[in-house]
Amino acid sequence: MKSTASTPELLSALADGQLSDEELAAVLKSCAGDGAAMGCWNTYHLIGDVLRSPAAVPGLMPIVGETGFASRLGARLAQEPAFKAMPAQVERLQVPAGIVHHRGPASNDGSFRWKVLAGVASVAAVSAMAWNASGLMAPSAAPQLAQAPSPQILMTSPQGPVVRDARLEELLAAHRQLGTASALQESSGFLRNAAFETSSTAQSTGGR
Amino acid sequence: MSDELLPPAAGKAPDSDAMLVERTVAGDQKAFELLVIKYQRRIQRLIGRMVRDVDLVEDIAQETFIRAYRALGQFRGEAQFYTWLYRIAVNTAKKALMDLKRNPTVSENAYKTDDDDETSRVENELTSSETPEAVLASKEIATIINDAMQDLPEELREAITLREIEGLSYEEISEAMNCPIGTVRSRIFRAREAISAKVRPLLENQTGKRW
Repeated sequence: MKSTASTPELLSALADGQLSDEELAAVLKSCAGDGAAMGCWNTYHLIGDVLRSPAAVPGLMPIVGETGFASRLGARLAQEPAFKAMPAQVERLQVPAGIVHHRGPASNDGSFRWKVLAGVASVAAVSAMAWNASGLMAPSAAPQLAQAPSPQILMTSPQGPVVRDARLEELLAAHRQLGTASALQESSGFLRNAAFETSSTAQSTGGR
Repeated sequence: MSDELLPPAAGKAPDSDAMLVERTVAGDQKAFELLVIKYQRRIQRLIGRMVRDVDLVEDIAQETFIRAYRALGQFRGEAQFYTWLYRIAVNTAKKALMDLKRNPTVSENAYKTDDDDETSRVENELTSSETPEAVLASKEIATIINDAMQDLPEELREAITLREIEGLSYEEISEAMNCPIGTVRSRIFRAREAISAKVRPLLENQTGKRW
């Protein structure tokens, strides 16, 4: 759709936010270097300011006309690096003629990504819990190992014969050299203490 | 009634600022110049309430717009553009006042220590840049605009009233006035042009410059 409206009419519509992207591009192009167009834009907003604040005359000041502010600022802006149009933005600006974009970003656009992320995390957590639960219910190798028969030996003690695990006995024999057994039945090689063992006790533990 | 320049009434009208911001970020600097022209009055007036020095008001206003331009890439549109710009202006002015306080060579008359908030200003007190002549000219312009408004044909006056004062969108105005949207757009434009024709000579005399 090619607009046949004049630049002032397009500016008037722009002041009201009623331009299509195509018309906006056209009016910005025609405004470049057109002081009259900028004057129209300024006057339209001045009229709006007055109509909305009829009793607030001082509010119009300090500027009612062109004081060179915008042109001085324009010179400074010219020194600034221009924004580089990103592909997505360019693509959006090149919409087919006649299609008017008035939809702004939704206020919850940012949180939507978090909602998706939270949903995925929830599904993953539930899956992990289900996997673990199925593992607990199914027979596995761990209990079988625990139930594996271990070699046992029969030992005598002052309290009578005792059946003990042969591997445990090997472990105790290997570590007994580090210290003597105290009354607390703890290995305490780093302590200087006295121990009293009878021959029968030594015999029951396999000797030294 | 406050003497603040009021934004259009809250309505469902589309936001032209968002369109201009989008164009600016897309690389069109002219779009930002339109935003500057639209808001320079309000920003300078806001700063004028905080800073006494007329020259400093313009400097701070310029710095405000430059900062806004540089930060525009981070503007997400969650707030209104003017609200965002307002915060930048206040922060820029406060920073300038702090710099003034640190610099002993600058007269203390340059800043207002008891008035760094626009809400604390007494209504109808003139700002630094409002000389009696400027206020008189401003009153004259307001009178011309209001008189021109009364001289408009009924359908033009109704259309621009619904838009500028009531803040209705073109669609809402077309329903209210029972006419096509294109007609609404045309009526509002013709109303603005009719008023502009009467006020423009005064603006040109004031500034000595034709647009």
